[in-house]
Amino acid sequence: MTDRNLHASIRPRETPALLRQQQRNTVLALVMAFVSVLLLIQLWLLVQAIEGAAKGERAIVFPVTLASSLCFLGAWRLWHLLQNRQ
Amino acid sequence: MPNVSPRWREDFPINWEDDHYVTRREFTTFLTLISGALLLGTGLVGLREWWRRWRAIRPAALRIAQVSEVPVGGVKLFHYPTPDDPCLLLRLSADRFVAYSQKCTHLSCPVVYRAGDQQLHCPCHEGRFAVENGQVLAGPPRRALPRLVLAFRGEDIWATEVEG
Repeated sequence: MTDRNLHASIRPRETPALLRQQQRNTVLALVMAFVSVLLLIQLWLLVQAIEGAAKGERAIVFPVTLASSLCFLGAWRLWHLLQNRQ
Repeated sequence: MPNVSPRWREDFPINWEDDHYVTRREFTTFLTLISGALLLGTGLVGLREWWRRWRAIRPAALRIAQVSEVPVGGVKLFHYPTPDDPCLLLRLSADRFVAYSQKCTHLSCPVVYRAGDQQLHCPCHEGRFAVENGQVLAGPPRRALPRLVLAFRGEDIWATEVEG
């Protein structure tokens, strides 16, 4: 038996339950990646807010706070979705 | 030799590997909490700016010096419109006074007057401003220094408003 055949024989059968599990894993990884990106954006927004405040460019601070709120809402919504799909 | 669990494990049955294991859901919860903390930080910066703006909407006039207090080429420090806003009063000639915010428009370092160059100099990042009008001459700042409107009432010099 070649190595390739051996691996094929020990690979678990792709049952619907296993497929669902794989899909779940993929969704979880995507959610984590998306929340991480949102987090990086928020970090950048915080730096921009602090710089804007230091420069006296007050007009930038409020849109930045709004954008950060939207990012948080997105992250919270995804987290909430995950918690309800145990 | 049989693999016998030590006696102390019965009293402290903690599996450290399990205890330190973090699931992906827990990690996502952690990320969401950090997201909330970042929002809180940004919100605090926003609130602080809102508070400063609200306090400075209609600043009351402030007597900052007497004409005789400041010699030609001299400088006087004062705070206007709030105690958190340092400003410079400069006497350029016998009858010419100007006043600017002392905060550099780059990153809020205090600017200092250099009489020899007739410039206001920010030592943090080498920003330079014209003493005549506060315009940027060199360095990273992109905006002119906020200028204060001065009023003369007898011998007294008053700051009445902040421009820009």
